[in-house]
Amino acid sequence: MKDSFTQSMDWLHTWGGLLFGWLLFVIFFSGTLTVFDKEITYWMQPELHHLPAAALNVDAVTRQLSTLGGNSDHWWIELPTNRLPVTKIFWKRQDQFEERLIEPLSGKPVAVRDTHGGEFFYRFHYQLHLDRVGVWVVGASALVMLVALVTGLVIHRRIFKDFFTFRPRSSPHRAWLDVHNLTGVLVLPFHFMITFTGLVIFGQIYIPAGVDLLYGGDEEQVVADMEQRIERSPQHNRAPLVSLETLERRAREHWDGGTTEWIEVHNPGDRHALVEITRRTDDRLALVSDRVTFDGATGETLQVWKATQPAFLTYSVVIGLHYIWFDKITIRWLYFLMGLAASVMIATGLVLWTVKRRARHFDAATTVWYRLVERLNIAIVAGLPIATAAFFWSNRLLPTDLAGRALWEMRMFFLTWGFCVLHAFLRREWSAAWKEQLYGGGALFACLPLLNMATTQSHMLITIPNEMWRLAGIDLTSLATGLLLGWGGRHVGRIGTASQPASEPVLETQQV
Amino acid sequence: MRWIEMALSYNGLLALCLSMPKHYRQVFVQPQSRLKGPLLRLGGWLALSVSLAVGVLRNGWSFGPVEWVGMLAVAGLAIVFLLPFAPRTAALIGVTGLLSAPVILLL
Repeated sequence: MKDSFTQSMDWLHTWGGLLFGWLLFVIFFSGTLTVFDKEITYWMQPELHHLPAAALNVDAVTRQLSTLGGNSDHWWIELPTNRLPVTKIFWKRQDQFEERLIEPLSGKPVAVRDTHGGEFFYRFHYQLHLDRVGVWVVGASALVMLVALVTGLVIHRRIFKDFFTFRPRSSPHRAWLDVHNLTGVLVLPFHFMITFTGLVIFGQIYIPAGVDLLYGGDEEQVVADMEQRIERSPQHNRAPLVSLETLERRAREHWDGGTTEWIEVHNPGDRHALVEITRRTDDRLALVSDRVTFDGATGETLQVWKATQPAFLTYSVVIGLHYIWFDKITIRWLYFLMGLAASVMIATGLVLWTVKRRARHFDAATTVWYRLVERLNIAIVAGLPIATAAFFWSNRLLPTDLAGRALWEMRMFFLTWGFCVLHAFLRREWSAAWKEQLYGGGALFACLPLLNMATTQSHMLITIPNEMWRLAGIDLTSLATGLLLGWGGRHVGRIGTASQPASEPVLETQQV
Repeated sequence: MRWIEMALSYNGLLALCLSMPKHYRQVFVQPQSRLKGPLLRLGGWLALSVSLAVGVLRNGWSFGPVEWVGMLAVAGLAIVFLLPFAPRTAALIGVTGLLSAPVILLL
């Protein structure tokens, strides 16, 4: 700790930012990809690309479901959207879940290569593929992120004077500090919002006092009380199920223009069948789903549920801001770009830590520590994009009938990342390691559209003339990412060559 | 309407940026006259207010402000990273955006 208030804030920003920066970079980078999770899933399943957008025949899908999951006690149908024009059906038999993808119009099953798609980045983003432990690690990182944002504001004393200031031709330290400050300050509302709302999502896990006190720690009961679903046990008398197509249409009458996301059937074919129709959340900020429940045997409307509790609605708006499940393409792109800015802010913060200390001389132990930081920066900041590109490449290159294919895509991601870590630590010249990894990632992303041309019928020459923007967008973004990483590779070498001029007063701006 | 909102938020921020003498010099070389600073500041804030109004009219009070804040952030980054490398282009983009927005609206 230091003497003055500003200095202790500086200390906190520097060390909190460094130690959690690597984790935060991973979280923000994967979160940025998750903005387009459904689009990524769609891109990774070329077998779906011929399907027309959002046409649907519910009865045909129901017939398929009763054929496949005939004697099961629970059905789910996830209806197609513009973002992912395919129907998903699930059924449960004695706690055994099955799922299939179905053509929305004909009700025929579609054979699709096995992949986790955008879901991979989604799970990585909020739990690092570590389940409950990961949720805690991500939560702790988010808390440090909030601290870093506040302390960053405190120590940035020329915030208004330097609001638009970027000096790329100045000293490397100054140039990177400008990038760090600009991506921090100009996008500050987003950084605060996304970090805070992210913490709120798992608020009940981080601060369980309310659940413990009122519910004895029973999280499921909390959800049940919030959702107020009707429950009925089977009567074990057969009764035909009312047409789901009719019920779906009747449910929509309650939603002035809203569409259906889920149809859920409890005890299909039983006298006590229940049909729950859930509204899609694509046209509202709040992440809350209105619901209509019918008696599956008689077709009688049993419940029209809409969220009205003020506290629950507030919570839904707060987490809705984070999840962006609404279908507003402009906002989706803005989130993506702001998430990218956040990743750049964190990456430049990490790089600055080493740039600042590079020109000085230290004892042996400190030197080892600085070397470790430098290498970790390379492995995380430059290695993660390479691993991501490898994930996309393996989706196109692995044989479609490979057993455990989705798992192999994940393995390729982590194997490639492991290779990047080794390369970062074993390459003698640190600046060469930066360059090679950034160029490598750049090449992989820039060539992804070419690989797509070689392996699918939905590459840019086809998707752009046919205005299939959700697919073309991935190829074009990947091209842009390649150029950005290549640009980074060209400029990263310069940050180590010129050291700060000694005449520069140390306290002129913040220390990072 | 989306283009108008974008053009206004970009130009509003650009005007606020150019109201600072050091950034004015980046684009126009000659130093700023006495009146230009306050005028640019006023115009900038006005353009930002109108762009928020357009956003709210287009998208309601829920999505409107969310989109507007995002547009400001991205427009700000675009201006800042263009200025040192292509100052004239940064200003030209603003003018072009403002002129073409009504045309796009009519199409």
